[in-house]
Amino acid sequence: MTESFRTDAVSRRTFVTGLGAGALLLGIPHSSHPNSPTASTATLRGNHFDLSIGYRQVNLTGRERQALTINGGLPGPILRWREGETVTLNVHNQLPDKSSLHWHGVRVPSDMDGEPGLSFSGIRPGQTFRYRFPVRQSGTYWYHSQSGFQQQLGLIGAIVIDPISPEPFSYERDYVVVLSDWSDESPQTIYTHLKKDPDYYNRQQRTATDLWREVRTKGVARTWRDRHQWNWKQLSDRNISQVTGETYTYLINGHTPDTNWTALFKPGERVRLRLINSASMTLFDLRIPGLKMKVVAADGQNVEPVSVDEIRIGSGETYDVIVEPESEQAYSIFAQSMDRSGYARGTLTSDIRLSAEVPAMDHRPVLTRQDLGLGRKTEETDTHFKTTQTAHTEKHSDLPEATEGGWFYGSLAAAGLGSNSPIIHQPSESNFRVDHRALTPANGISDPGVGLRNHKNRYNRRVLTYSDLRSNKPTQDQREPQRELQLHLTGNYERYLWSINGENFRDASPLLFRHQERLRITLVNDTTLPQPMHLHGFWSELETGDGEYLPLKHTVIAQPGSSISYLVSADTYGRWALHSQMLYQRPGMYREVRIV
Amino acid sequence: MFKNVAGIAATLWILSAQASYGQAEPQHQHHSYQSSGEDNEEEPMAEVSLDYVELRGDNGGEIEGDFSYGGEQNKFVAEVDYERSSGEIEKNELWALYSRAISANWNFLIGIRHDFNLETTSRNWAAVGITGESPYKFEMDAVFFYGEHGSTAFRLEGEYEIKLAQDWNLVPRIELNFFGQNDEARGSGSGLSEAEVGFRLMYEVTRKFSPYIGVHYEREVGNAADFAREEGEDVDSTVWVLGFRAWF
Ligand SMILES: [Cu+2]
Repeated sequence: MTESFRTDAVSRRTFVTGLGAGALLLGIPHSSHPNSPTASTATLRGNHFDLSIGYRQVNLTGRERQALTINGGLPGPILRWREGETVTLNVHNQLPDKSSLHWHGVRVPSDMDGEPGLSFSGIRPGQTFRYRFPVRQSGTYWYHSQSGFQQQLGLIGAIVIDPISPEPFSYERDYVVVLSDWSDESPQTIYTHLKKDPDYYNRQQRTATDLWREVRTKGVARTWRDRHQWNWKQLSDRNISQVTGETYTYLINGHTPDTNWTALFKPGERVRLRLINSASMTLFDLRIPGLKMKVVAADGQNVEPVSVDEIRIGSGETYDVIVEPESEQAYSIFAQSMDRSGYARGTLTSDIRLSAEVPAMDHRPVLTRQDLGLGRKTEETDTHFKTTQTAHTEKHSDLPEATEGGWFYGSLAAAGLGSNSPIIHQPSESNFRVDHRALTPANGISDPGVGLRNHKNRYNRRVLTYSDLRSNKPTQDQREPQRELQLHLTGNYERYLWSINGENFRDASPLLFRHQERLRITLVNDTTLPQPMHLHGFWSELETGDGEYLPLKHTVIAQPGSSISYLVSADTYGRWALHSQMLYQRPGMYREVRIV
Repeated sequence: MFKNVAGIAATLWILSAQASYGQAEPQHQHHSYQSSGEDNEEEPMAEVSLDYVELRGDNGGEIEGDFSYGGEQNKFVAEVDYERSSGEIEKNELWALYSRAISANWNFLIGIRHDFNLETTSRNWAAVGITGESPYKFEMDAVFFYGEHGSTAFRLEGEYEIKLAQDWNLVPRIELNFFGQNDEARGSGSGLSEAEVGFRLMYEVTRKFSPYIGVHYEREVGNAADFAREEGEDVDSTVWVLGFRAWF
């Protein structure tokens, strides 16, 4: 197995072709440029690490900007750990402000989680914080700053943990593919723009021309009917992403589409790509035209391999895929943003001189009734859930009973089936923070998501859905859930306020879980935007239908207007966070989880 | 107020140059290190919004805008409304308001309005109202006023944004003024006294700066119209407008 992230030849080539200072700054090993960080894409191994959070000038778009770096790298170095070892990371903060590093998806003691305000107080300027914890898992993860909006400025990096026991798949090459979004505007500016004009970055709004076209094809009556619900609610079916390619340049391993990050293979080799979405506000749809991707792990944990053409990666999520290019040619690694306002692009090639055609972006999505939360039909059409759903509706008498705070007791559905509880909007959801509530949210487990729902017919591509994920190991905790927590993800788009159950983090009391209890969390997304929700400290065992082989995740996309359920074993004491991974929504859509 | 078209054009040019300069020169990035997420404390935000800065016909114009400062629910708002037509000042108001978000789309307002001396004297009004967006995205302000000597007034303003293209907007606007009593000196009559309707075609140079052209129609109604006729003035007028909208 060869493992390489940076191919020196690539960097030299991009340097020679003069594709810009981006290449200069992002990985030339022996450049004469005084500011060029030699460690930018380095892999650090072992069990003792010294990491330094600093800043430097970068030029990704033709303009000089200041980025935040880890050991001078944007993104930071790949940390390569071994399962079973104890790692020590001395993180030195050279910034004039507090900082932090959070090990996203890594099961650590609470005080090593790096969540400022909950488990530690952050790393003060000039201070060094020592993280030390045993590594009890393997796979692909990542780390990022959880202070302010520092993640947007580049404080991200990959974690690769080698397993103790051999993996159930093999490969000859191993590459990390870190997706991110870069802006020349400061994060504070972006946030202020969103607060003052939430459509600031949306260049795909409804227009009169659009209306005219629709009236001509559908007629006035149907156009009115289709749009009424949106107009009545003062929502738009074109609010796909809030921060878009208008300001973002999408990166792979810190490379712009122009500087084209490139990875090599020899025909016939199996190439493992560790796909990590470290973006602040972007969901990517990734594909490699011409190659099937065999998904072997989701959020670091192995799954039964499943072959797909396309994967939506929510920010915070990771997927490991294996591709087998057979001929001597080049392939584009193409990751378009969910709203199709831009893309990240890299190249997988057998020859450093070759690059593949960059495909055109797909159609621009428009939200549907389903995204408004009007998706659950009386007769369930989703075959996956047919049996369970009808089973529940037949026995109305023993539906679970709700108590205060969205907790349900009683006859909960069996582990794996997902929630059978009625959707109950809390009284706290009726305030100025909430502009919409999903009335009949569908189960989002088999929904590929906004803009991908018809890709089989449209492009003949198979898109991965959560219901395709099946752990390759039996579920460890076989207990049935003892109680269920229904949380509503809420927001007010126009005011740009985000909350859970209509309550801002500041005003909400922590969610109390009992130590060692097995519980179900059901997320009901009342917003019209997908919310990648990240639970710190525990696995989120997605209820995909088969309780015996629940896939383990740390970040779960709650589809707009939909619900989704996962099981949690509350096995680690401490104070943890449950929050949206969307950076500018995170301050409000955030809850403390406390194990007591 | 501006003397002529050349003056306004020069001002527009300077402002647009500034706007695009501001766009190209983002704030110094040091601000963004702030660990504001640590305690997730919302910092108050300030906004200046110039909704209408325009020339009307040969001898008129309007400046309407506000400054707001506050957090998620509670804000302080200072508002200016200055209008002039046919060489006469029609409105010269300064407002100071407390604004509170009361529902997803509506804010409650309470405060005072000071009218600088028009033809007679200065006046103070207590103001109570709501502002927000109705279903189908009509922006509306409805404010009730109670004056020093028991006089009452009500103002209803509405605006709608028709997006012609991503950076072209057609903005119809309406304003209705009602009074509880006749006020001959001021030229306002009881009931509906004055109505204004306008259309403005705006081009977004940037999201924050939109120059526009348009037409503005206003009309005195009822008793107010009678007062105007007695004074030998026109009861209605239609003028072209040229101006800009900006926020920062
Ligand atoms: Cu995290």
